[in-house]
Amino acid sequence: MKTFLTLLLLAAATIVRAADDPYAALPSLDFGKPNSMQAIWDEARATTPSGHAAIEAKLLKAATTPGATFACKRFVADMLRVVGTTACLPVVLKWLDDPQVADSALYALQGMPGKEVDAALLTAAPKTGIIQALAARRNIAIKQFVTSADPALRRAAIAGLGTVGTAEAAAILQSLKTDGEAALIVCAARLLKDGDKKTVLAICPEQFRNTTRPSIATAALNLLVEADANAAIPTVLQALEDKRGDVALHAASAARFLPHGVTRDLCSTFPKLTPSVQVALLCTLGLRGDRTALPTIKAALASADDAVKTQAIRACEPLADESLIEPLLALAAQNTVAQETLGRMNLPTLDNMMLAKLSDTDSTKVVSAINVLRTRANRKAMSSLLKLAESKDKTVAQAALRALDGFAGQSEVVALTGILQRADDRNAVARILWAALRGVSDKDKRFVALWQLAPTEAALLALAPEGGGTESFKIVKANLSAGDVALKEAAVRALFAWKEDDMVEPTLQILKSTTDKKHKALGTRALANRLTERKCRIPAAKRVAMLDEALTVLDQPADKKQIEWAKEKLAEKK
Amino acid sequence: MTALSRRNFLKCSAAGLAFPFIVPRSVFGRNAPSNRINTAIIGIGAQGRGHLGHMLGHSELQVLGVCDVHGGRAEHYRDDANKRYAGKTGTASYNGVRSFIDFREMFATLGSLDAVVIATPDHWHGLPAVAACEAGLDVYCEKPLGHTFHESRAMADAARRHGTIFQTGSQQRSDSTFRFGAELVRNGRIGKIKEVWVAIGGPPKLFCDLPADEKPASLNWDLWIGPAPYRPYSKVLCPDGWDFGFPNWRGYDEYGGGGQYDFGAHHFDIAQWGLGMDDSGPVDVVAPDGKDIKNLTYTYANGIKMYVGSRIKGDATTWVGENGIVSVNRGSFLYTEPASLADERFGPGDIRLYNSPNHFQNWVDGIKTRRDPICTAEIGHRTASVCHLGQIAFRLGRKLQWDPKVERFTNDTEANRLLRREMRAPWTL
Repeated sequence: MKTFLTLLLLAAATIVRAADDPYAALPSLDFGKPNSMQAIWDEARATTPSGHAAIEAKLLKAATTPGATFACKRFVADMLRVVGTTACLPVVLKWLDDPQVADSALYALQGMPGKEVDAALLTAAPKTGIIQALAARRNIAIKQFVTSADPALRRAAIAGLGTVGTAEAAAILQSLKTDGEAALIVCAARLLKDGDKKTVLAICPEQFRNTTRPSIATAALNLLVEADANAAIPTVLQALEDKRGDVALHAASAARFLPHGVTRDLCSTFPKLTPSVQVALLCTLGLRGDRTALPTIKAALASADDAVKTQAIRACEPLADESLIEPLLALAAQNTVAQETLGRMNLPTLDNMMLAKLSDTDSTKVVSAINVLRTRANRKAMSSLLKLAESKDKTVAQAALRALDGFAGQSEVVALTGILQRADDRNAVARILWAALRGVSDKDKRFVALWQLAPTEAALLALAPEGGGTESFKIVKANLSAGDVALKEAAVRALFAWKEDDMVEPTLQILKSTTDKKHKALGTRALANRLTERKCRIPAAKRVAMLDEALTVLDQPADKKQIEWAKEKLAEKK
Repeated sequence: MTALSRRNFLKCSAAGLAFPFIVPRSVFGRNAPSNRINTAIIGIGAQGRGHLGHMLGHSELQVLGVCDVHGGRAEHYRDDANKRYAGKTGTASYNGVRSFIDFREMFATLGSLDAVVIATPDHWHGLPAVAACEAGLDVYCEKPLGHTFHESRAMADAARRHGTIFQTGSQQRSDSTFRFGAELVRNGRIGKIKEVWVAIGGPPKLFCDLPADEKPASLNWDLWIGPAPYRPYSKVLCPDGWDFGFPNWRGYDEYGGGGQYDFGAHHFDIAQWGLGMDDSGPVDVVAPDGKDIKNLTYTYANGIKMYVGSRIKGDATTWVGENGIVSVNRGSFLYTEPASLADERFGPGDIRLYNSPNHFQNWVDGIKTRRDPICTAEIGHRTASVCHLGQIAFRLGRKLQWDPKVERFTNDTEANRLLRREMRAPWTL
């Protein structure tokens, strides 16, 4: 207790001291202890850069206080990362020799402007971190470590020359052959960023040819394309048949950046390529958007290889050519990718062509056209779709109904109500009507509106649980005693599907009165589920009593088991 | 990557080249491993577990390795994965999945690897991602892409250079509501955009001052810290065991980016998508000052302002145009003014944005076709940049001008120093 109070007092004293001078508490900064860092951050934030020298001085004073903690030095280093100047060098350079804070020193130094910093880093005892910091500063002097006897320093220097990214660094790396090739790629990328295409064009073709590493060859190829797409053409074409790892795949991908005129050459190599490279090249041909590739893509639509065929379909979308419509349409009845492709194809004449297909004698084409027009959400198709929903050809009718679901809106409600009365699949039409009324955001009101369209239609009543509100429930309850068998059945089913506590009492009544085994089974399951629902608001004791009451009227073992399960679940919750 | 990758497996075997393959080809029947994409995961925490489960159930993927700096955790999920594969194949045991503590060892050991999923804390995204690109692997990396500006730029550059199919885990791009919202904006349905609102959390604490705890025996803490500034172990940052929620490394600048990066990597991403800024970014940023500036505020070159805050109740990203509003969020949240915009359809001549119905599958498809996925490393980097700029603005407390082309601050040397965080040796990028 005594120790605890002492610690508490010390902590309080620290806080008080920190309130006056946040830097005073800094030397004892430690993890998990109260600290003054926020005040220092706030001060730095409120001070313009011209005032940061004063902050730097206070930080250094804290960090050089005898006994200053590791946490203190790390915090100071992080602050120096922003406000540090060469004034901090005498302090921070010493940290480089201390394994505990050497990293912290580099946080402060690596991004600090000034040649003095480079000079200081170069005179310090060489370490991996120091070489890395110099590399980040793009200081070519690290080349001296390329021949170091210490393998760690040597590796750091080689990798670092890549970051330095100058022509001189590139020359050194080239001379190292295999040892330098990964860094040479990084170096070439840096040179390219700095605008030195000439050096890159000298390095990359050689790198591409000589390396055995597929990833190096790929990178050399990509850099070559980026540096000069024209100059890269022969290399890319040749690389499409490269045998090293995935180089050919990458070449197919890189070909998207080649100039327009090369499409014919790319297509002429297509038959010679492996299927996986063909897939990648088809993707590229699509993205290039050059219609010179149309014959190759059309031929690939008939490929025996599924992956090639699928990619050929996808390649059609960006090309958006009328000549692709018929072959795609032929595939669209069975192939969803073809449907999607036609659905998204940016071709103004496509819609009229699809509308015309709706009266085609070939039902396969009609179905495809329906699917495409639905994907394109073309409202001009609406009246045709409503007619086709009653087509004698069931496949066509089903496709039209699927298309209308979520597409038909308020304007189609009257026509759909008419279809509802005549349809074989009234549930499907009821669902379409429900979706067509989506403009009524209050779902209870939406169901009432739906019900008013045909107040004796069982298929509509089945949607009452979607309404889910008081008015919808009233309609369900009223129809539980309907004279029409189908309507009464729909009301019972809707009651069982109800997701509120209102369903419990009427369900219990049905269980007591019915002799229908199916109703008993469904009602029992619904009751058990509702009463064990997390959201059920009926008091637990009453729920148990209701389950017991249900048990007295059930005779089937499976139904009784359901109730027992519910009781057990309630007991567990208790 | 060795030459014996999935894609040239058949070619090699046809040539009669003998090599150890991890799974007998007959084991998976039609979906033989040689036709599958050999994958591994790095980081099996709360997010990684979900990815691993998905990978194990995916018919086109074969998991070969699980890697986590917590050895016990890696072994636990390795055993789990092996059991699952054993169940699938109806065999008593299966040992094709191996565990690793260090991703470098995993890359060196699993020569037939094609792709890797990275679900580590933020400070551990950059190094394995760049190493994977350089090894010729395709990458799915969790968001935010890089922990610092420098890291995410390096990741995007490496991915471009090596032709990596790189998916950033900003999966809202593969959600139809977000795409629809962005398409409404891009097609001018609400007229000229005036402002964007992005509802996200705040920045992280700049120094992790959590108390030191006793380190679990099977955790390699030095490796958990990796390139980040060292501190003693804390169970808040990396709990022991294998079944826990999201640890709060995100709350500290050394290891994460706070709510600003967490959801910024999603909602800024959508904002930029709608604005057509996937290859660019804002030109200035200013943090709230508690006085006149109430919100973290970005300005784009065309004058559009982007505010961090909520504009519509329940929103994530809201674009305000001269003729209306479009607001989107998860759970199919879509608010439009006028309301009729919600039923808007796009036709010929309209801009159609990249359609990816499933973010992970989009990556898998890309591996096969070499088509860029919906959220490339470059896009991920540009989104992460918005987060980075915000964080730097918060730290410095003054208005910063940014050139999105050369990616440097034009009015502040100190701000440029914060674009990069030095890595603890021997790590470097």
